[in-house]
Amino acid sequence: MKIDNIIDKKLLKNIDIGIIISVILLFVAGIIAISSATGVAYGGSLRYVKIQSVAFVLGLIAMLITLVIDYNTFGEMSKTIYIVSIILLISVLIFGKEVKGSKSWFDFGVVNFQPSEIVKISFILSFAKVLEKREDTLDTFKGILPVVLYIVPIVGLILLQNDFGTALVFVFFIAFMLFAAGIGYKYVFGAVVLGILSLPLLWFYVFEDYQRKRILVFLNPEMDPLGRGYHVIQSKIAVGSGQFWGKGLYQGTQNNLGFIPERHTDFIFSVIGEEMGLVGSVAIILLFMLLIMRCIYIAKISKDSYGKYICIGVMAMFLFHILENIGMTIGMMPVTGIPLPFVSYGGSSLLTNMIAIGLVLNVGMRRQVIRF
Amino acid sequence: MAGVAKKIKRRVLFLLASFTLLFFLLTVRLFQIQIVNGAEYQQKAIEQWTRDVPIPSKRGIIYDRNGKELATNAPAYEIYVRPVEVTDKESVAQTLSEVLKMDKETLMNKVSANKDTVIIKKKVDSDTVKILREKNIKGLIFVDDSKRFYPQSNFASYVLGFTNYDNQGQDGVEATFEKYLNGFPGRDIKMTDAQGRELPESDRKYYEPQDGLNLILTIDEVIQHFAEKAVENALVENKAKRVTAIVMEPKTGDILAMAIKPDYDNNNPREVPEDLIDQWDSMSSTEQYNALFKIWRNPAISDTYEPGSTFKTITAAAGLEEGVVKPDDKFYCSGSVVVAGRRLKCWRSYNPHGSESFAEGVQNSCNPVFIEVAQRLGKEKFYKYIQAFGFGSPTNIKLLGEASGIVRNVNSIGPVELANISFGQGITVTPIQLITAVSAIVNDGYLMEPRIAKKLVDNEGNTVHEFQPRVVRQVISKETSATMRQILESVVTEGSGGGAYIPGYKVGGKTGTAQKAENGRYVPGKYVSSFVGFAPANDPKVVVLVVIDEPGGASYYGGVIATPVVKSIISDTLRYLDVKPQYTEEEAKKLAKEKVTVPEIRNMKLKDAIKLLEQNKLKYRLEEEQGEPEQDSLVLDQTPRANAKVNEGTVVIIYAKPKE
Repeated sequence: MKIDNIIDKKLLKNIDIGIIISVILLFVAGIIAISSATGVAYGGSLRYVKIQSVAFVLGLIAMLITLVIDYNTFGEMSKTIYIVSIILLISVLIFGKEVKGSKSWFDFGVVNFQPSEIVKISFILSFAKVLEKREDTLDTFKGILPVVLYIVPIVGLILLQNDFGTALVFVFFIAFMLFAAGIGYKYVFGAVVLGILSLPLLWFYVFEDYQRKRILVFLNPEMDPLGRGYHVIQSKIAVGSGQFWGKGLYQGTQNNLGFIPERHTDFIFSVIGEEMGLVGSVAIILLFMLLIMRCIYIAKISKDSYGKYICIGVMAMFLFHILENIGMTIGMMPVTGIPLPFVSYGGSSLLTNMIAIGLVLNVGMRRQVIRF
Repeated sequence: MAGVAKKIKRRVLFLLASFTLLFFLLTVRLFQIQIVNGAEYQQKAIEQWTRDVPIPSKRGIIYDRNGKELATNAPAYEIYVRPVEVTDKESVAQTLSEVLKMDKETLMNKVSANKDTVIIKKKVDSDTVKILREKNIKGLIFVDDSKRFYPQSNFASYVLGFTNYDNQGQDGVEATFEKYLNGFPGRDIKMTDAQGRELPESDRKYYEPQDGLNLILTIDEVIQHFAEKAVENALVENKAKRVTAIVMEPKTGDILAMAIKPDYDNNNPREVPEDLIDQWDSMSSTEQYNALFKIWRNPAISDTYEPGSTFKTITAAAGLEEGVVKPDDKFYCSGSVVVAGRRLKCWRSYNPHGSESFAEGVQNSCNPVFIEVAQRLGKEKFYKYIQAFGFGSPTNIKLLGEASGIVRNVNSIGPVELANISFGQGITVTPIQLITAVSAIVNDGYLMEPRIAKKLVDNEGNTVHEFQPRVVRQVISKETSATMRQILESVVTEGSGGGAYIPGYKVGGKTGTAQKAENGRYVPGKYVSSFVGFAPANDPKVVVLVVIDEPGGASYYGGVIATPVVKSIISDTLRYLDVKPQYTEEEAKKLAKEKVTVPEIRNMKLKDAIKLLEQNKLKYRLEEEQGEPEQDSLVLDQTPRANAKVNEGTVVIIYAKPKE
């Protein structure tokens, strides 16, 4: 393991300020929105704000630790990381606790831990290595097959947890990483066609009733205004009623009167939309855009393909969360329990995201070290 | 290797471009929701956290000019149900359907609806509510409300109108003064959270309802009673289709009474008309509504008719005002006159009036005299007066559905039409137009806008607004008006209006009998008989118009059947108004004279009847607007009727059967 002196000026000079600023601002916006969603201004408990802040501090520490270690160390350890990931996922199936139909949590009494969160990172780290090794052969079937075999156990185990949303996140960033690694277009199209063909199969044989219903309700929320459509309808009312300037911080009626569901977690964006209006919503989107652009930029300038694929993987993971989460609050996406990175309340997701950011910064910082 | 790196770089750039697009899409969608549809979502948001309960305002009371209540409010209730609280839905629906006389199926749906509260019925009276309260049914809510109530039911029906279930005026002054009577309903706006819990002392807003203003009409309840009674009697006696009476105060244009029979019960305006009960259920809802609209239609302002001889007042006034004729001008009636090659007959062509003054011509209602006057005026000048008196345009009385009548374009009429109009044919008017015009003739020439409402007052009795009498224009001079009053008084004392003569009260007026036109031709046997009268003639306090539509009794002459109705209304009214009788010397003498009993002369031969009257020291005058009688003609009718006690020398008007 190669541990660098983080105080090394050369390294620090290369740290990406854009990413750091956007993450801090997103977190601050999130903390304020959480305080509004939990009614802190009206005598609500500070508990959520405190937990989120603690998680952020822990995240910073985890990020610093990540920064200290040269990312290629993870590349060298990729097999171990992969095996540990598989073991984690299997053990949660056996020892885990079922929450809202998904068996994806370890219950440690004081702290709950969701292994699939950390596996997102660990899989990106190990899969990037595989791609780096095989990037020349990705337009041949022989080259692709081992890659596919590498993916299947992980995604399969997550599906076994009955966590369709997380499985989608994996499929999404894996696809991006494959695309960035230069997989042949015929395979891209082949996958798309296969995906479309498998839709009816999924619909009739794989999807459970509740999943079918979610999609139907997404297509027409008024079908079930008090049940599954309630979330979307209420969220749209909240966001829409915010109009241009918003109703003002802590002044959101839909938020304060409890009309927005899951308002401190999955629907935190509705609170921002209502209280800060189009101005605030677009500001959040711009911050995310900055974050994504910087990730892609670092991917572009990274010194090696391994770093590039890590950045693409992390970027795609964020992207999926952002598009899906914001999309569902404004009725563009079906409702799934996916939080908004850095903004939604939730310790383990914040922690994971901070580590992921640490990895991207890590790649960015070390781009010039190899210069002779 | 280098190729791969380049390819990868390209792909990364491609990803960059596509994400920019995706973020752009998010922004577009946000713009759509927050800016384009923002107001709509804002409205939805407000609807979610507010419970807006309207609090009905008290509808203003309608009074007559002396403060008698004509329309008021009675307590009523709205019944709601909270379905969750109803345990035995079946039996509750059963009970409700029995007590409220509603369909059980509908009620079953209401008590088992998946809603917080459901309305069962509005405007339920307190007796019914008492029955339900005693049954102690859980889940029923009774909300105070009020119901419009007309204490005298069928009384001034067409003036008052009625309201709908939401207490909104639908017809009559209830509709035309709706915005004043209705007031402003209050609101109780409470805030609730997502669970429907009321937020304590949050921004609850309570707006006090503002009661409607009370309306004081120009109608005098007592005079209205006189008119209703007289009209009711006339309807029965003459087997008429309809009788309309309007009483107007000529100086102000105030409507003192407007009585029409048959009418409807204002408390129950949607009651199925008796003659349609059998087929009602088989009628379409449009047909049902049309039938009801027919009943609600106010003939005094919505129906037009050919005025006939009553219109001669207009011709006379125009002629005198323009100076083309003077009361003493001599005319000669040869029984007919040739106009543009057409021979127009006087109604008494069999016995021409011969030489007569203009005043006598009016008394005789002699058609050639009026044709001559109209010709002297010329159509332009004559039309100027017809229009100035308000014919062809609405009077703007504050009631719904006023008609304008038909006055043909001045350019399209020739000499024959001009002649016809001079005696009231080929022109249609509404009763309200005619009485307003005649009021102008006798009130020194001022055409008034008919006034139905005097003022608006609040609950403390303070006047909020006064509707002032409004002069539309002066049509004729004071002098012409005075002349007209004299001439029209002589019509009653000497001429065809004798049936309206009241000793001591100087009554003036003009009769009219017109054949009804349907589809452009006159219908034999269908008449409109009318009389417009005023008193006292030297200083008119009231003008009364009575129109009898399709009389089906023995007589259809305005002078026979309409004059007694006007007479009864005028004499009752003048006594009520405490107008002192002013007897002429002659009348005083007559009063002192012995009374004689009028003999029965109907169905006698004319010559025998005349002989009998002379034996009884009575005078007579023949009245045969419809044709020439012979000495052997049967007497059809007489005024006054048999057994009336009259003074010696009273003129009995004889209506004899015309020669075939």
